[in-house]
Amino acid sequence: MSAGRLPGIRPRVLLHIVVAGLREHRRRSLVTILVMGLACLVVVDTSGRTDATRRSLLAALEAPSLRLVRIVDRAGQAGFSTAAVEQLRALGSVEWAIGLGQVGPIGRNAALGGPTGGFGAGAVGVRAYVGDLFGGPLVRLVSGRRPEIGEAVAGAAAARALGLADGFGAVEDDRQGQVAVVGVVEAAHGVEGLDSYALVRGGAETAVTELVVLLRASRDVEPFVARLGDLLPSREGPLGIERAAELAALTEALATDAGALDAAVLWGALGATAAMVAALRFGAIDERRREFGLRRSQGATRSTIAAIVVLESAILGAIGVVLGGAVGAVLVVAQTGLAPDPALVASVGWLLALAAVAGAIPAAVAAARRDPIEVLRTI
Amino acid sequence: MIGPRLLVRSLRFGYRDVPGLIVDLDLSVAAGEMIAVRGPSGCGKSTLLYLLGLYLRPDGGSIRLDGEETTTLSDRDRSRLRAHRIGFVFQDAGLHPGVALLDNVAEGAFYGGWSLRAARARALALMARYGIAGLAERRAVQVSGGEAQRAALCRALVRDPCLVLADEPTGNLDPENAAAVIEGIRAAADDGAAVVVATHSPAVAEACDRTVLLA
Repeated sequence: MSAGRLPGIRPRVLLHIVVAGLREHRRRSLVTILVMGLACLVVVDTSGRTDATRRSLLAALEAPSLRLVRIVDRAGQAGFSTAAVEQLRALGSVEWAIGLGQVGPIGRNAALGGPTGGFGAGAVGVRAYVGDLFGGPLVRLVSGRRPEIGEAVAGAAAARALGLADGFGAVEDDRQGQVAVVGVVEAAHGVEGLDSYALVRGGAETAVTELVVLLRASRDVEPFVARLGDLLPSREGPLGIERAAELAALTEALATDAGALDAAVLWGALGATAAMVAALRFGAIDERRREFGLRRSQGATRSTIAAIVVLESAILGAIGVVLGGAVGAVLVVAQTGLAPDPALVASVGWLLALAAVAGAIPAAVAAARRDPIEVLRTI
Repeated sequence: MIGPRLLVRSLRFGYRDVPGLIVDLDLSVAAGEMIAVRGPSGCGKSTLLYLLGLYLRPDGGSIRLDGEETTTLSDRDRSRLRAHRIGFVFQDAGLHPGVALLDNVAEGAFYGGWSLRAARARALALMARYGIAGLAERRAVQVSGGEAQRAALCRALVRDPCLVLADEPTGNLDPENAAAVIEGIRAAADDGAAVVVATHSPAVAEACDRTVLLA
């Protein structure tokens, strides 16, 4: 068989040589593991804490009140309808939407009666609504049942004012006459104002003058507002649009800045790790010139020598990354109470292990280039 | 096998500081033949062995091993030939000091595609033949010079080479160990290998079939 067709070293034998080499040079192996472990610990700890802080802030910034958009038809010319509410609810970025009619004349408890000139005892505002009032996190039925069309629920403050503690009764207003009240609701997260009304469930003909839309994420707010012109059937007349725009911008900025910080820490750690591994590996191969020369004299090819050096680094890097990553994750939990994102830890681990391999390549090339004769002449 | 195992023609080599160390050397070693290379220190005995072992590239000439021209081979193919067909015994055993003797010996087969188990089994068999099987698990630093040299001989023979090169293999040994090593090298020749031994020792030369003198 010609030299070109002769088989080379088997992978398992190569692994055996590598593991034996790591055992033989125990101290250097431990130092490399320590360096890799520390690098991984620092990156996981720093990135994990940054990520935990960011997640806490983002969670706070995703409060419903910051995802709320109110579109008010001040002149009553926009032509909002039940259909407009349904159209908005069908959008992927919309979590919840209702339409509200104009505030009606002052209502009274039909049984108790009371003054009609203001919010005195037993008098509240009456307002029609369309859409699924209870379909989102903002309005909660406290007692009673959901209203049918033409029935009403009273906001908590309105129920107190009407004397409807159990949520059942009737409200009478100057425009619609007597309306049954079948429950009490509590409104929160930016729509607390609904607590002051008796909310009458409207039908298809209900005139809508205000749309209240809850978006799924605060970052959806600005795009949604920008598209309003396309989304609504008509935009004639002045519209008042209210939303927490600055906070949405802050959300975006926070995510971007924290991401940039993570990237800076990660790239710095990768560079430092590769440099340290390169220095350690160069030191190791210089100490092991005789060993590599002997291996070459026994028939190891240059690529086998390079593979030994790189595999050693990969194994040491993997051990260091697992240990450092585990300790780093424990530290993050201890400091923030939040477990770091497993994908983040895994990504950091992979990248650092790759940095260890990359750092070993120059040393591997140098070891492979050594002429065995340098060693043989000293044996 | 038709023709010599090792055929050297018009071999030339010199170091930068010692040009013309070997000039137009012709050499032919048949299978089963053991030859001694003798000459004064600095005459190029070890260098000749490094050339035959494919560690050095000659400045000119030809080295054929089993009919295959080796001087034009790539570094990788030269390494492969060493791993499969050439066994080398150094004056100082040249073992990995922290590694078990068994793995030191088995390493001789590692780079030639042997499995771990097969290489170790073959190594253990050879170590038993040369009286060092009981030291298999000892690290190389824990054995005597004679035992280390026998292990080095085993490492050179573990891959069943067709060419065995030995550079002053008995230089550091007591007569008893020297005799055991020479006997081992002779046995390799008897098994069909071509053997070249660089030596100052008349006793070693006497065990060889013929002697080549380098000036």
